[in-house]
Amino acid sequence: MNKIVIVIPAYNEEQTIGKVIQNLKKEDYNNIIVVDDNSSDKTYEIAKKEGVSLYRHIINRGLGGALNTGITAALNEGADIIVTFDADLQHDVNDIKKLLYYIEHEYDVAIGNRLTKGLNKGMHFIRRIGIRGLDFITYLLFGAYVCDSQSGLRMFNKEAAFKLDIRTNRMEVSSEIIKEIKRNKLKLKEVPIKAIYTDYSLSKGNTVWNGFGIVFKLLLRRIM
Amino acid sequence: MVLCIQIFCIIIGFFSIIMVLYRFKIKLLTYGEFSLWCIFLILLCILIVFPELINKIIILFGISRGVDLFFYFALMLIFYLIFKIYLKIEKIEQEITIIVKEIALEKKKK
Repeated sequence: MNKIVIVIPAYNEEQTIGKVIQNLKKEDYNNIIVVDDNSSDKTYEIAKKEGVSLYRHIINRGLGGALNTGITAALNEGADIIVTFDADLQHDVNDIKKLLYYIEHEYDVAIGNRLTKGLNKGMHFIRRIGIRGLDFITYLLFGAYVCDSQSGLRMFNKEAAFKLDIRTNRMEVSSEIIKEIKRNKLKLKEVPIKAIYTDYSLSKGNTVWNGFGIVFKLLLRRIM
Repeated sequence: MVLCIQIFCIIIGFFSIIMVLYRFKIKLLTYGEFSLWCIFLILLCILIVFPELINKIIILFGISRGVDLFFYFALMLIFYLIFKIYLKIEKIEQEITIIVKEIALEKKKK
């Protein structure tokens, strides 16, 4: 039986982190790692009460830094399959099984695709354009096209997770992961998933300005 | 006729080349950086000794005044240096993340 470890990077998610963990546990995902990226609210305390494997950054490093810590921690804890899962209730726990099917059937990586018609209610048209734009930039810079490169729901087998070399710190990590998948010639499957958008989760995502910052950081990563 | 200021500038240029050579020897500069600095300093010395060459160069670039050429080069140099500094900062950020990650993992082990 494969050990599935869920990695949740969290920064100031006191409103939702408890519910996210409870939803996962209801579906028998009991190996949960939360990486608190030096939150200033009660994210750490709430996650601790829920009884998960908790890691804390002493300085805020961003999504990339938190994912890097989380994936390393998951491998250290003996994970066979690692799932990255957002802390803002954007993801449906039931979608994990859909990704799992492909990982158990010879794929190395599965990424949730939020842009499938009918599954992205509440996703603003500008956000959709932004994601497409970043997909295109990721393709231009790293030669890998993915329909939803910015998706936070990803699944890796342990061999794939070992090969990832994540160096970016912030939101640009999503594109860097695509680059790493291509660089390591990992077998990738994009799986349609539901995107649950509330005012809260919308406030947590990328803005247009973030998007420009991400592009700039990706250009730098290409050069460095 | 060579002016005193030109002699002074050539001496400064000469010592600058020595400094660059020394920094290269103690591995503070890469081969590429060393080469660029040497070319720059040698060209500077030549232009100090033969200032009339500047007029021929600015005609080549289609610029009307020598001082404009100086500002264009200065601007390019500033952009280059800012870019280098930015790259350095990014590298330092990556190194900080490695440290923060190791601390988080170590704390959990305890």
